[in-house]
Amino acid sequence: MILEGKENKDSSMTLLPHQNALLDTFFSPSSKRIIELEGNVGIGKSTALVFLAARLLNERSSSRILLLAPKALCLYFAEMLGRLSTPVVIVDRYRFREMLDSAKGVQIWPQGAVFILSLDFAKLPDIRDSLSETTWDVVIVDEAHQISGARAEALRMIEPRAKKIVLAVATSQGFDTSKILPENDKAIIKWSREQVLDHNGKPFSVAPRTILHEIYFRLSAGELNLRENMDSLCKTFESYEGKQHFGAKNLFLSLESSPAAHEAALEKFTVKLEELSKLDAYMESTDTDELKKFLQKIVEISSRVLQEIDTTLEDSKLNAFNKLLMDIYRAKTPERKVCVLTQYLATLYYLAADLGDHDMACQLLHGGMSLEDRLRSLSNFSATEKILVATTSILSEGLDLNQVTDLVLYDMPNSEDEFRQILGRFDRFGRRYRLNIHVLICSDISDATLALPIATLRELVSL
Amino acid sequence: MAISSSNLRLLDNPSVARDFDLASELFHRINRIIPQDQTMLTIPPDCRVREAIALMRTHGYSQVPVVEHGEVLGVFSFRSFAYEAASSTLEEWTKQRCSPGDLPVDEFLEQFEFARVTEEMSRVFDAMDRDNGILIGTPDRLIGILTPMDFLRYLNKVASPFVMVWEIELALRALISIAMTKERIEEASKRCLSSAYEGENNVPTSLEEMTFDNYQSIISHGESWKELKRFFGGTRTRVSAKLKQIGEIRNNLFHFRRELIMPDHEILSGHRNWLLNKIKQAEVHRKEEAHL
Repeated sequence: MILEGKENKDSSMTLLPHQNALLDTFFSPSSKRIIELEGNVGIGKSTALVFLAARLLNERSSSRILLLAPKALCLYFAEMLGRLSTPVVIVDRYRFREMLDSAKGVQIWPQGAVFILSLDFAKLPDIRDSLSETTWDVVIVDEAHQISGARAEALRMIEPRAKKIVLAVATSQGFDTSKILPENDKAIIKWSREQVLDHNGKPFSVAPRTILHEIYFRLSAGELNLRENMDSLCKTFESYEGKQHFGAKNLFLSLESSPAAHEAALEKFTVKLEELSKLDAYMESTDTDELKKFLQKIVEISSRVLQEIDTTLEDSKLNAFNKLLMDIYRAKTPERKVCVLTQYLATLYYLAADLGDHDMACQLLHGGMSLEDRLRSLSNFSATEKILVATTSILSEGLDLNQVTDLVLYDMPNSEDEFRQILGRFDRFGRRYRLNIHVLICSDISDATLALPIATLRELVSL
Repeated sequence: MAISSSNLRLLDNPSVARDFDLASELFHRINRIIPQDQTMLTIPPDCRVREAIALMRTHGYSQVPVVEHGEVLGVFSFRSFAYEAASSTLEEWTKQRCSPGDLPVDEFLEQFEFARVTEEMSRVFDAMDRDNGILIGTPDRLIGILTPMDFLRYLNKVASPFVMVWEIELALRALISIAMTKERIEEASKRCLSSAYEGENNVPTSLEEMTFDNYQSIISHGESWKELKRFFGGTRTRVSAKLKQIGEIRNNLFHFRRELIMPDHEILSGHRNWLLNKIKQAEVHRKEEAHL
């Protein structure tokens, strides 16, 4: 097994100086029990954690390692460890039952493997109890800044049985571990883009700064009418519940994405309402007559909006998108590689169908694809295709898209954290050309209704 | 599988996770049927019947394992309670000097069989039929409980996508045949499918001979759309997007590329309902035209 990685031709499996330094710190006899690693997205925290676990098992094959990560990253870690020939088990409910079934005696977690659990699975009472009854050579927590509430309680219970703990956190999150873990035997390691060097010894920050392009468009009369009806739906909710309804807010966001996303969201919303009205507990807790009238009104408005979607043939945002693509491809150098990101699967297929109508081939990438299809899609995009249409959610799954020249945010990110995660997939080691981020903004709607205000986006890009 | 391609990496490999027990991933065994979010509710033997029944009602359960010091003693269920209660005489009840609800549950236990998570579904059918449930694990390590409803839900989850795809394909076929004459379908087939079949002479000419991809090509084509838009509604881009989405799920389903997840079910169900509405509207059109 290559752990220093210097002989390895695959650059993704080669450790950089700052990553090697982390391993040296961890394996030093004078190392602290708890190591907190703080660093920006996209500078190799996860890879360093994987090499750390692999080296520990390589040196002491009887080690028992617990790796806690967000669910979307569990497969990523398993793949990386698998590539280093490290025994690894992703534990979900099914696997846990099998482990219980096959366990001899009280010990459920065998030695000699890395057990990967999602943070949300680990916090479940029976899992948390089982983990806290086991001695761990090291507990590694990725994206530790996401830990609070029940997750924090689980970590607090597991901590006393861990010989060592490594937490990886994003610098900007202002995460305070002191409320969860003891402070007396802790080292903090900080990584920043400005200080770390890439494979060629060049500072990471040497890559050209990212630029944000704002593309404004206006809605047609039909589209404005659709918005008015949606507004009416939201007001109906407000009048009944006395506050903005979460479902109605989501409907508005889907309307801002595409007619396809809005239609899908509206259909799903109606089904959920019908299910709700069948729930005895809900019906018993409310005034049934009033609720019936309310639901009837909602269904009426929903049906009207669905009909309007069918008859609204214009899509101003899509037109603006098509014009943007033409503008991007007008520039010949460097060769343009465009990634279009959307929050909605329905929008992804809608854009793919539209690109097909314009004889523009594209590759798709979303969480519903099989592994083989995803690999094929990425490989085709890398080799020949110019456009990749992807859902935002898949970007949490360890993608490296540093060859993309133009990132089109078809929908606004939901939060600052999400935008940082997105940026981390594109603006990372190996980037040769400037990353252009394009956002489509409707002039007819106020900034306040956007998932993430444009001013915040400007600020984040300029950092 | 290693990730390759110069600067792109997708680090995702279920096969690593499968190494633990490949058979469990491939075969529909007991473990898959136990609901993933099942949390075990157990009660001690001295729990009063009244409290046990209240707990069961709160959780929506018909039976609950009775456990003492980690060991399963039996199962308290509505049925076990009814059997025992019905078999006692008035004299016996009077002797107890308390109502049935005040008695401890261990006086009303029945015994369920145990099965392991790795066992075949069919192995537990008889026990399930007889007892209305089965315990998973061993008496000293209870892992779960399985009921006929869990089986039904699981089988429905596995089978329903096939049924929905079946309905969707037939609905597409019906809508095309309502919108276009046989001759026009043949023309559309030659126009849209020639390149895929290497020549006009090789294309399927009737809808029954065509595949889902063929329907998709015909509906998404600008020329055919002129005749179809009245029945499908919306825009060609939106309808093409829906068909593309269905096509991908269909391929995953029929080629067993991956297990369908809840969003896939929702998408299939949504698109199936959309087509159902279109069929209903087409029926109305047809009746109105016939009336005229």
